[in-house]
Amino acid sequence: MSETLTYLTMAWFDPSLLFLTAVGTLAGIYVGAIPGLSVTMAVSILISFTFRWDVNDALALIVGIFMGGVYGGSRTAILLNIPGAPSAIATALDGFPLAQKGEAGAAIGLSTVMSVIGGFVGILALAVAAPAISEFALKFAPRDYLLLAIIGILLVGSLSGESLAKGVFAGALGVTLGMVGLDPLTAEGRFTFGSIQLMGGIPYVAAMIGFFGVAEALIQLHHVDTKPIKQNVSRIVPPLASWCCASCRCRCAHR
Amino acid sequence: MDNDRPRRPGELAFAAVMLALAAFVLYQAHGISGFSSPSSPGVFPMLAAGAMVASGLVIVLRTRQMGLRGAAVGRFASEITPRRHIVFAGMIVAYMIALEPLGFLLSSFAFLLASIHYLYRKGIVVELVLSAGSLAVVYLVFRYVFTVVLPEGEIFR
Repeated sequence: MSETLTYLTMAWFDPSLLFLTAVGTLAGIYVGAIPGLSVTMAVSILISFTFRWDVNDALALIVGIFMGGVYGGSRTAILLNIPGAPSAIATALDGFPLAQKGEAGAAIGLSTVMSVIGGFVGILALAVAAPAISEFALKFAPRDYLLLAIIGILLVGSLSGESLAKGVFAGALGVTLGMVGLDPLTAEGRFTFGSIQLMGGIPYVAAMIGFFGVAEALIQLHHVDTKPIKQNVSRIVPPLASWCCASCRCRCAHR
Repeated sequence: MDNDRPRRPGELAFAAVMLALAAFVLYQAHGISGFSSPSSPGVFPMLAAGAMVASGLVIVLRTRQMGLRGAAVGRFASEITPRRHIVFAGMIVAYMIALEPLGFLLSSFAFLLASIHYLYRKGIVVELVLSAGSLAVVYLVFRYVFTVVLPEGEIFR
């Protein structure tokens, strides 16, 4: 336990590690905010740069990029309704309606505060319970993955506030698109129509840019002549009372 | 709820097209391995396509029940397919087709210049600077910082 605590606190008390984490987080936010670039890709590229570095320095930078990248996807999700990363798709559902009302600052602030709290909870859970979690994870069998996937699809249905049927349709369409390519067990082609390009599946980035980017660009064409909404960014950190009200307000806004 | 609002122009036709697409996907999914085994590669595609057909049917039926407000044809042209959308969608399609033969740089520059000229109209010099500047930033970031291989084009190879 003391060893775990030593490693946990090392990154907070060593100025060079703290600096590298901060630099990585800043770079990660930019990577995450660009829809064409994924966090995994940034980390993979970074490994080649940090190959000869000290392991702690390299890990601090990589962790910063990863955490910043996962959070950074929310920026474009809130401001442009185009999630920078798959993890920010749900942020767009609530954040963009707030931005349309001129409250992008509050949405970004709320997303930042919650990301920080969530990040700390995750770090704490990992530091304290990593051995127990890894033992639990090893017990996951294919049926558990199936149940987890079903929960995910049901969540899609519940997130689509306007119509459950449309949510189920969109979820099933997403599952179908995810199955394009070769079956992982039997290597049999699914929905490839004989195309070699489709055998590798449909990349997330291409699907996301198509579904969110192009769709949003076409929606914005309706508002080319309208004056841009003045965003209130005077107070990024939201007042405590607005935390619980913000989600209720924006749900009402996109109904 | 969905039923409380009037039907948007083209909504029923779109729902019907989606249902037809779902039925086609179900047919294709059945063609993968049929009902040969509960763990065959076609089972999940059939389940997903089945869910699409069932939910698609519900969507079509509910959309039919909604009331229609105003003249559908006129509103479809003004709300869903105004001229600006048709032109811009055409530019996107042209860009997609041109990307492979002309390469990323030339086709993206042409697309950016054409779309900025069509939507912004602030003089050719401003449009040229905006197109070249944004393309340069995108190219430098993707090609040199993140070493993404961008299409070179068949003509200028």
